[in-house]
Amino acid sequence: MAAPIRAHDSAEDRISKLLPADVTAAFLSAKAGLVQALGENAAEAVFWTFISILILCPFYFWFVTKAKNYFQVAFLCLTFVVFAISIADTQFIGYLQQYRLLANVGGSINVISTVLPILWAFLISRIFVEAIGSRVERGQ
Amino acid sequence: MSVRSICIAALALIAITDRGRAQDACFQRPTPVERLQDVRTHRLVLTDARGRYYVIDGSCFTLDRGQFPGVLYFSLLNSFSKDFAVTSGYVFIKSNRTFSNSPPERLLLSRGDGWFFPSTSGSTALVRMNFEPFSGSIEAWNAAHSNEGDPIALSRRLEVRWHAFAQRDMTSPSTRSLDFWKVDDSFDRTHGVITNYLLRFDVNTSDKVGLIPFQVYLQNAVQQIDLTIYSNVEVFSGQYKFIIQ
Repeated sequence: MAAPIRAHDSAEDRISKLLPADVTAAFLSAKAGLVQALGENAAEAVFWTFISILILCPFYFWFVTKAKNYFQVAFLCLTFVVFAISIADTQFIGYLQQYRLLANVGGSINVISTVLPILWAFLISRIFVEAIGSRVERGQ
Repeated sequence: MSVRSICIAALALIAITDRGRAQDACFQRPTPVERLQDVRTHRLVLTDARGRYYVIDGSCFTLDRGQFPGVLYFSLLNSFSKDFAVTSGYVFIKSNRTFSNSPPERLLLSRGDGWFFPSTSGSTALVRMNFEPFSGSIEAWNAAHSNEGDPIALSRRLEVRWHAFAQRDMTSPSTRSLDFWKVDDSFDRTHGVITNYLLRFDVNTSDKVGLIPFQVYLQNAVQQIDLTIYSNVEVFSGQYKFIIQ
């Protein structure tokens, strides 16, 4: 769960604090409920639920989880975007491809939803911790 | 109002109008779904090369040849409530493919299992037909369908046993709507190929989703597919256009 990174945190602790399980779980539940209720017409509702949660994310991380560092909050928000695309790739494709400019977005989202979460959790998060971790700690 | 606000408002306006224009221009893609159980309001689905289902939730679509290579695997969702009035159904499908070249056949006939024809012993179950070319001309086809007649009469006129009865007791003939089978005047006789399908099914009222599959071949030269579906189960009937790119 997202929480402030502290100097004595282990590498695993730090990485776990960069994975916003709480908001991801909220989005997962919302998506399941919307698909259950709206069937194949759920794409638009799921997409805007994602946008709404994304807008609320910085405030949630800052005020509720007390992650008072801009880098960490930004990274948590990005992580939520990555996981949300993976969770609701079908709905995102269904909604975004309605727009002419995004009509061929399906292939890209499929690739992103498959590859990026793994890279993000096991590689990019570790790079972030190593590269920015100390700055995050100083900000506490 | 700041410059930034004006830019955001302009972008939003472009996005909205772009969506409206795009729908008019038939660029829409079928809507993907994770599971067939998620489909609530539409009946025609398409399966891509990776096995993912797409709902045909409009009347005009653009399909990517790379995503649906070679064959379009369509299915009608056969899932109804326990109190549904109809127990046995049939589907007539007419697909009009427009090619960039000029294929040798103009009219192909296809028929699934479960169709019957009178015989000396009462009735005989017909074997399925898979995209067999009609040997006559379009004019002969239309002439045969210009006057009323049952499958027996039509098989004589067409010199091919394709029309049939959906029930063993010789009811529900495929000739019940002869106008449906006539080839329209707008048919492109140089680049067009019509494929007629007869499908029969038992109405599925179980909890599992049943499928009534049919295929439309998508050769490299196919540019457009017009699909017309008619069924005694009203929700299956519809007209669709697919632009291939």
